[in-house]
Amino acid sequence: MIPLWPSTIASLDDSLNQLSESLEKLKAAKPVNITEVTDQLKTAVESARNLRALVSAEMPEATWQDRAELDVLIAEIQKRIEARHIEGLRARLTALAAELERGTIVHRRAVRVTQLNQMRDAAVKELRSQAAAPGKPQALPGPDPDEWLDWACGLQEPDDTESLQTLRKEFVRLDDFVANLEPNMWVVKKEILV
Amino acid sequence: MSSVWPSALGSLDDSLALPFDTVGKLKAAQTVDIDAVVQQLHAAAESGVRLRALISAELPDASWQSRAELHAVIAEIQKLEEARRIEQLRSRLLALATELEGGKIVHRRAARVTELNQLREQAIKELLSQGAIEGTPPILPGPEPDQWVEWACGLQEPEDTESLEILRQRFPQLDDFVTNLEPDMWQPETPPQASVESAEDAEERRKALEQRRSRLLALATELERGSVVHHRVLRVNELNYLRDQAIKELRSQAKLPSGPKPLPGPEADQWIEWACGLREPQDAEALQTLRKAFSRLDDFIANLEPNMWKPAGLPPRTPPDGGRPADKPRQEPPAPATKGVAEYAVAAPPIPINVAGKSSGGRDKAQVQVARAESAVSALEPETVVVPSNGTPSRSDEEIQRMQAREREALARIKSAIPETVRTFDHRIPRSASGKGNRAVAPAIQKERVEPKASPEAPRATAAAAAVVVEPIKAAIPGEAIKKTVIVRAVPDDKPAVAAKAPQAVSATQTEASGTWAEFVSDFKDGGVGALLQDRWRLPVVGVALLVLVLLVLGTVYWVHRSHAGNNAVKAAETSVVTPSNAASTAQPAISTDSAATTAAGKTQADKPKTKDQPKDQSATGKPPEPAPSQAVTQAPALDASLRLPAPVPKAAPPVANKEIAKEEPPAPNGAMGVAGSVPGGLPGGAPSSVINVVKDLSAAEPKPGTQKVTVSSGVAQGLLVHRVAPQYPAQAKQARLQGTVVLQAVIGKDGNVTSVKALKGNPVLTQAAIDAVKQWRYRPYALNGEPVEADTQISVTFTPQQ
Repeated sequence: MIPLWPSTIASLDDSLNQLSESLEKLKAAKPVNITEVTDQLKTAVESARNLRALVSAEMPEATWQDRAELDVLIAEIQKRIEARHIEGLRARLTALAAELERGTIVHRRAVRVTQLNQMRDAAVKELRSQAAAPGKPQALPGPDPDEWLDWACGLQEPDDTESLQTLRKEFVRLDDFVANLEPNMWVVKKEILV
Repeated sequence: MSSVWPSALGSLDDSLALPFDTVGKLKAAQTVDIDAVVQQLHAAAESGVRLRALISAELPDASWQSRAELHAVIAEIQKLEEARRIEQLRSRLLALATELEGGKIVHRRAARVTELNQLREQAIKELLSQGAIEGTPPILPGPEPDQWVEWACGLQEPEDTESLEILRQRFPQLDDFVTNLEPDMWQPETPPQASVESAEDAEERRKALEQRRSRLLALATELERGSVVHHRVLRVNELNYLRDQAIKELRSQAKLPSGPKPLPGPEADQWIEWACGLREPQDAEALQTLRKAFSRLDDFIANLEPNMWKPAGLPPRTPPDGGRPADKPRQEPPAPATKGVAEYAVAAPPIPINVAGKSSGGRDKAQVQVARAESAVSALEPETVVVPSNGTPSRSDEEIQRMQAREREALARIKSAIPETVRTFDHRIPRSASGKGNRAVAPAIQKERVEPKASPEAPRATAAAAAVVVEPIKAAIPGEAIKKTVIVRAVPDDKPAVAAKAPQAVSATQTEASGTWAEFVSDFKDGGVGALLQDRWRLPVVGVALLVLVLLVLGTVYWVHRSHAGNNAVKAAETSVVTPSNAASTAQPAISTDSAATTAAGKTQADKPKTKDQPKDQSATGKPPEPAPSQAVTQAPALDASLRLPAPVPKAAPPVANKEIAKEEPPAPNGAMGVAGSVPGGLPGGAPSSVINVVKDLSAAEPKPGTQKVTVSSGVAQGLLVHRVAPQYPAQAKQARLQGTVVLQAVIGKDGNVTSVKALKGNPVLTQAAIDAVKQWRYRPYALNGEPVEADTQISVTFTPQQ
């Protein structure tokens, strides 16, 4: 979920709560500081404007009449945002699998190249299976796929323990591959522009 | 519910509606008009202020936190308002009831008035009952109660159907009344003066009250600072007492929270002079105001003569007769060691009774009577000095005694000479005399009425009781100031009632058979004694002469007999000790100075207060000093047959100083046949003005200072009595229902003890009991010139079974 939504809604609700308290005092004919009440009103108005902007950004044609309709609308928007987020995760895994398939392993010993290629293939499979699995795929740490092997070969303990840990747990094959691969062993085959 | 609360709450809620709606919109992230909301918020705040002010006005201490608590507070206030409203409804009903009650129904027919009054009563009852019911009373339509009847009488159908319907349904009796009432039949009660006065009015009113108070207090101070001047101590005491009462009254009036009543007259320093000058009917209004609002002050002023008052800081006014200032006269002044009857008799320099003082005459008839009575009393009191106002030179004691002896003799002869059959003297005695010397003397004194009671012992006991009114006619004695002298005396049953009248009067009665008194006098004037020897008058004159002779003889016999009996004291006034109860003989007897003889003569003295244990020092008793007529009579033994007790003195108007009696005293001319004003037939050389001289004679008969034993009247003795023991009613007497009066002769020793008692008369069964009681009595020593002396007095003890 995008963090802006809850904070905007919370801000609106907080300012409205304060305004409501002041109005209740007025309703009971109790004395209130009218300036404070006005400020509370202005804050609430601002929060409402922000919220409307968010909604409008997600669903420009969306309309509502009350808070309930607004809440429904926000839930819809949140669903859409979540779906977008999962697709992004999948696309990242698929893009990394493609990146691994395109590169070449170079080493002085052929056994070692074979061994590393096998490991690459296992990692590609793992990434493709993860991306094809239903539900929300595991989030792959690290930068975009074209820079990913460099970033991963540079990970070292204990500085990058969190990322390494995530790799070891969620992407075991990929972690084996990058653990045996040295940065100079990976050569990305340049696409030849036609 | 009062409309102020919903409107205030509604206003608040209206103002808050938009903000609350805005909150809802904002919650849904809707757009709002923020300016409008802010405006409403301000309005809501103002509404809140107003609402709080309303609540604070009703319940200043009320507090709340929420709208719900606010509603509770408002509900409480509404309850109070409802209670007030109910009370107002009740008040309205009751006010209308009062209005109906105070109004008056007028109609040409009494029956109609009665009928309407009944309806009104019913309506009033209905209103009262409606006003007394629990809960909310019915609402009475119409205006305020003072305009309600007029409004109700003006209701007519169909315009006022609603009000009429309400009246019929809720107040049927009231409706009946106003239906029958026409507007011109109703006279509402005159509304009281506007009670709402402005601050200025209130201030003025306060100042006026303060002025009234100051005025009263100033007059009280003036009265307090001044002094009463009179030649008689008794009178001064009386006036001082009255003055004290007046001062108290003035001060108490000044303290009244509601403010004193307005005092008429000028400022305090001139007030008494002004008040003494008031007379009726000219000053009836001022006098009426005084009597009503300042009764004590009025008493004092009524008794005060201008020349009796000595204001503070001024020299005493010299009474025309040379009156003595008797300032602070509560104590008897010391008797001067001077000669002469007058100087002996009073403890102050002799002062002739003032006759020239301003008379209170015309102001109050009763006061004149009081003055008359006072004249009689003062003439008989021992301390009284009666001297002709023209300054008749005083005689020596011997001379006076001689004259008195002669007078006494003559009186006794006269008394004896009056036959039983003489019941009344001729009223036709001419009241206007020519005033030619002694010939005018007889008609000068008129006997108004002589009704001697027939007695089997006649002629000695000519009458059981009598009342003699001697009224010398002023005109009969030219140059004399005699106005009136009223001397009333009652005598015991066994004493003859003798009128102090001239034999001429008797003769006049006898000559009535052959001619009128006027003719007789006319003949006597014209022809002198010789004319009386005419055939016409010979027989009556001879008869009268014989009668006079017989009476003289009888009188002599009576006098001798009386002297033997030792009863030469006065019987007219007796101190009576009445046993209070025959059943409880130990009860305290009531001592009074009422004359038993007076009672027997039918002369009730209801107005005269009975003197009980009156101390000599009047100021100590707190009661107004009263004259002691019996005291005076006791000291007038020679007058027992001719004097009467003074007329009752009303308590409300104490006797004023007698100034008139002095007018009666003519100068003492030398005449061979006596003096003008003397008793007709008096001896040559008799004292002038026989009655007055008799008084002087009485004074002369008093023991002089230094005498070891003086005779005091029973009244004086009673005033000295400090301890008395009730006589035991003898059982034998009680059983026999025996009653009567025991007259005792007692001697009061210098120490106040009764040293000797002897019975003068009375039933022997009762005598001893009376003696036994009297022996235990204690008196204050009688003082003469400051020295205690023995006092001889008479005490009467009356036993009455019914008491």
